[in-house]
Amino acid sequence: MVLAGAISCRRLALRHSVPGEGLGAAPPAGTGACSMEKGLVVTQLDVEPGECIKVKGKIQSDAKGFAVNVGKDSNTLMLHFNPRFDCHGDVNTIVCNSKEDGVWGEEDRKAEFPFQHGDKIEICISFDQTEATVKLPEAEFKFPNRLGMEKIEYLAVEGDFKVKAIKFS
Amino acid sequence: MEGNIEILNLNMKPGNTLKVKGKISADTVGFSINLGSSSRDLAFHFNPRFNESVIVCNSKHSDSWQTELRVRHLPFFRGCTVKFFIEMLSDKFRVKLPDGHEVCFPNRHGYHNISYVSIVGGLKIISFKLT
Repeated sequence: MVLAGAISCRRLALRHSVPGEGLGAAPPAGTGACSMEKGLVVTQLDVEPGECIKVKGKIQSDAKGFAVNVGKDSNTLMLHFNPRFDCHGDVNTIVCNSKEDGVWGEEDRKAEFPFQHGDKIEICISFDQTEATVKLPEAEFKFPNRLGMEKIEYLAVEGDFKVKAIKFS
Repeated sequence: MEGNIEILNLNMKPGNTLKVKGKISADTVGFSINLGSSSRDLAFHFNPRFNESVIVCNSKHSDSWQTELRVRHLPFFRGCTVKFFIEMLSDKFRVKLPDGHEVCFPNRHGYHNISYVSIVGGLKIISFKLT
């Protein structure tokens, strides 16, 4: 696991997107006040472009951060979507990233932060050839499909988020 | 489109119910929902077989299957969308089938926590929920 602080903070200039576009993910923290506990992992999925993964759950009342990862496996991520309440020096920031062969890409940070401690939320993730989209009730974020992935086989949730249900549609 | 999903770190405990909704493939011979700690150690293997019109239940210990329980009641069909409610109790697993019928299987190996679930064969998962 890479430490967030070690990651490049260069932002990607994402175009079209709602305020708070772009999903960035930050590497799960390995140390410090914000270590991300491994949560639910789903493997051998077959989610195709246009289909949607809905993750429903609750943000813990003392959450420092959580992440939803989708991709091929833990070392090959199309999207690491990592809302940070107070993590690695970030306060109320979403960090998005990709990972290829176990190496993080460039972080993408979002200005918008539509999360609150204790919230019950539903995160909807879909993708196409060019980008992944994360939909929340009040916001939408996009992040480029840097690896050109054609299906999602792996889903993992980490950190201070309790998963209640997962739906594929 | 045979599924073969694995779920890790589930943390299902006695009192919890796993709700699985899926679509049964039109041409499948069957599918299974497996609960345990790994593919080698299963507290509960729930395996409807259309070719035999039976639900086979079993457990697996250190990669060895144990004694089968066969239930001759198969209240769903190929091509259908179905919902299964699998309740974990300290001494058994109770599955509520789509027609309300219940299948029970003992918690033979005394599991307190189910961390691993797999869905194998002709059931394409639409959703799962832990309550």
